[in-house]
Amino acid sequence: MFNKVYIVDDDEVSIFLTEALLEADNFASECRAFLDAQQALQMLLQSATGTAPDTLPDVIFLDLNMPFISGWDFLDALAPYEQALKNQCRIYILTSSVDEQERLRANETSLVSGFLQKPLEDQCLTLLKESCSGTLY
Amino acid sequence: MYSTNLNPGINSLKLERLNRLLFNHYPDAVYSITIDGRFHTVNDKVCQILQKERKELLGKGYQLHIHPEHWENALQHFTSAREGNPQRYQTVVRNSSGESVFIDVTNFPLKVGGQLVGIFGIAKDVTVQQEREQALWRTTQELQRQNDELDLFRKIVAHDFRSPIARILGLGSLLQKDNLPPATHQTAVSALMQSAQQLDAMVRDLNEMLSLRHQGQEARELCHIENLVKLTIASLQQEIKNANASVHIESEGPLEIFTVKAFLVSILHNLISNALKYRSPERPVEVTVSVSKQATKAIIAVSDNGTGMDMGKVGTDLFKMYKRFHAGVDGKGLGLYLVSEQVSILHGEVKVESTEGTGTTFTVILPLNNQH
Repeated sequence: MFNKVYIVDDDEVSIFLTEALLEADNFASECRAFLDAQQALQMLLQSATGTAPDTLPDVIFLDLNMPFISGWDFLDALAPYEQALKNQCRIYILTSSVDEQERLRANETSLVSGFLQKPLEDQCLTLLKESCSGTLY
Repeated sequence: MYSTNLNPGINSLKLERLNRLLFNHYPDAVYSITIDGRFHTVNDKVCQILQKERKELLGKGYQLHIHPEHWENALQHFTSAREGNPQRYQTVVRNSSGESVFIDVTNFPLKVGGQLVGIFGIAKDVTVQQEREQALWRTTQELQRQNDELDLFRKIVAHDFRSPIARILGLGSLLQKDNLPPATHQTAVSALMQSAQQLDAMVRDLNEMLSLRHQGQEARELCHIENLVKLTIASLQQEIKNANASVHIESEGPLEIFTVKAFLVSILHNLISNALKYRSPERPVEVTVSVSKQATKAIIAVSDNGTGMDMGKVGTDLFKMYKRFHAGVDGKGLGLYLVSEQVSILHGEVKVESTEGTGTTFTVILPLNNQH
């Protein structure tokens, strides 16, 4: 079980769903959802630079298609802090998109640990837990 | 010579007569023009192209037959040829019926004993090629547009249609789980319904959009703008009531427009319902629809006192498909795309002014008499 998970998604139903699935799976002890990507970005930057007491989350589920700040913009903004984030926090893209170009782009982005398609499946969550255990701590 | 022995008749032809035959029967227009710009000789083809008798042309200015838009250009080339430089260019002449004929012109300076006396030229009728080229260009444009559209549809399917489908799948699998808290179960069921409705609405929108193109040919009719505004407001009565909004019409008097009625209604509907949707919770909602006339154009402005947008952030994306700029408001992001498509088919334009926190004004400018 993870300590802390962030969900960044502009869609309320989607957040509800991801939260409910994580909860049913006992995925994390703390789950925080951000409808506003800007707010999530601020929190992360503060944690990464140590200007806020909040610790970085273990996992971030990041949506791509959001108004104003897309998931890609979000990743671009985090890129300068890659070293600080890398060993503490895994970013998974969680999108409903089936666009192959986005998957390829995700593969080329070093901050991204994986490209997941909505809806999250139980099998996928189990894999995430297995792949992360041991490497993170 | 071997060949002349076989065909002795041809020997009797004098070079001058040969030249004259060639001149008259040459399939392209051949002519000479005096130094002051009058036809000196013209062959049959010149008469045929301009639909004139030879005697109507000789001694008259060539310039009269050039399409007025090409006067300046033709004069430049004529002057240049008169200065001794051969010219090759394309221009347009008009025949007696007023039709344009595209010609490819070659003009040489005509000299007698080293003295320039005029211009000698050949003009080929390239109207058919020109039309073919234009048709080809139009086809290319159309193909390009359809390709862009295809790419757009691919994106819509990959991104936008997948979104409610993914939610429905996820909610379905969530509902299959045992021991789901009753509140979660309840939320999941209503979200499932909402997602299915959204998917349904998107399919309808896409269908409407696809049929837009064919509707462009639809009959235009005379529409009374203010009446259509009233009609649209009436159809939005429920939304207006829910928003607790007041909608005013400002008009300088009756204004009629010759246009596609269904488009105009759809444009008004989208703009007014947007004005209601993006309302500010801080003040009573006021929407003003103003109709005015400016020269040959109708100006329809829909203003609200809603949340407004930061135009610097929104930029040119506002009228794109499935772009949304407001968090927390249910929207499919298709309305403004439809508005801009319809306005462009009606040869109009749409402008937007907005201040974050103050409100937004959409202005649609349409030609009053919209023949294709």
